[in-house]
Amino acid sequence: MLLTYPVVLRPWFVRLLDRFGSSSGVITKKLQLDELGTAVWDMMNGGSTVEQIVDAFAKKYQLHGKEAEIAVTRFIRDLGKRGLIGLK
Amino acid sequence: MVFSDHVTSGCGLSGSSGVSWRQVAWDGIRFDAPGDWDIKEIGFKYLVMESAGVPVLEIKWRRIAGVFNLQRQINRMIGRFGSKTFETRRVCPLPAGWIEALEPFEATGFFWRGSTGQGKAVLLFCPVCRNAVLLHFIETGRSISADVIITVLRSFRDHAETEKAIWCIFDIRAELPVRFALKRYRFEPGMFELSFDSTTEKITLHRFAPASVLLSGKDLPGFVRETMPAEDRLGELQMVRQAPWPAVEWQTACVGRQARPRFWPFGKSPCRWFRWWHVVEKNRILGIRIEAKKPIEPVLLENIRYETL
Repeated sequence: MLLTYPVVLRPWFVRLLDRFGSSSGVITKKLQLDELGTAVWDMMNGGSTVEQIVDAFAKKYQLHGKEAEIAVTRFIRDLGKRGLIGLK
Repeated sequence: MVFSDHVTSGCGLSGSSGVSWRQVAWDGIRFDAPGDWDIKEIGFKYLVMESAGVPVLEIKWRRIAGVFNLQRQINRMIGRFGSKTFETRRVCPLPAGWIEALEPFEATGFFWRGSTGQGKAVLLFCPVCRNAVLLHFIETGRSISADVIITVLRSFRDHAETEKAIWCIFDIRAELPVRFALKRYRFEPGMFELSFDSTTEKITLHRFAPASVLLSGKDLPGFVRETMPAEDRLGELQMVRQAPWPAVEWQTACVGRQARPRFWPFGKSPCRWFRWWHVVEKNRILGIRIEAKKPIEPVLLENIRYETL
């Protein structure tokens, strides 16, 4: 799965780009998810807790609980840093 | 070599109270832990178990070369628990049940209480292998039942009682000759690797998961070729037909003086053997790699047991 998301640039960088004719303050980035990342992404339906996603992921791929927890939480943290998701 | 003709279900034991148990064995020690305890931290001669995200048991151990005075060591340990953080810390006599459970060992204990909770620690000394072990039960927020503690203590062993050492951690279990010492380990989501050395051979255990994803678009030989070190990508991988699961095996021809490396006895070990297999029902790929400077004895392969839980 290919995720496309906007990244808002810092004002000083936008001014620098203006000098080269690019006036948009937003650029688009792409993130290619592998099968495991896509599975976690599909599990994030807005209603599931992180713990529920970890359990479902571990069950689907027959992984050790701790292993699934580390993998899923790292992935979710990465998505959060990119601004793709938020946690409530 | 027995690379397992069956898959054990976590070395599961069932207690009379309905608590499920599993064996934990790491770097010379082994004990039974409740099924809901997980590994929180792991190191050389160090282990921390947790339950529901909270540490419950810390274990440290080391070999003592000279004289070991149990009382002096426990007093020193208590001194390290600073009085500002811990309101109470004192040497305490061990409960009768603990003494009985720890019969093979010389033992003493201490108790502490502070703002974060309380704990009970047992310092053991084994006169057979001369290991000193600290088992620290941590009660943060909730107490650990006496039955659980006694079962852990009763099952605790700090040395192998046969010629084989057991390694049982996370979802892998292995039995290796005692002469192999842990040199390196790596636990990453999806990939475990344990390396052991003796004076003559080196054994590396691999475990990959989930196999269904890793083998997507390729077969087992293809995956092995991508994963193995460059110096091993030689020759033909052979499928092992009589194995219970799909397996590949490969070895160098290691006979006579021609087998010696250029700057023998330095340089890469000339004798290398490995086997990888796909445990279909557990969605795992396991591998064993053996390196030696001399031809690998068949009895070594027979004395290795490696399986997934």
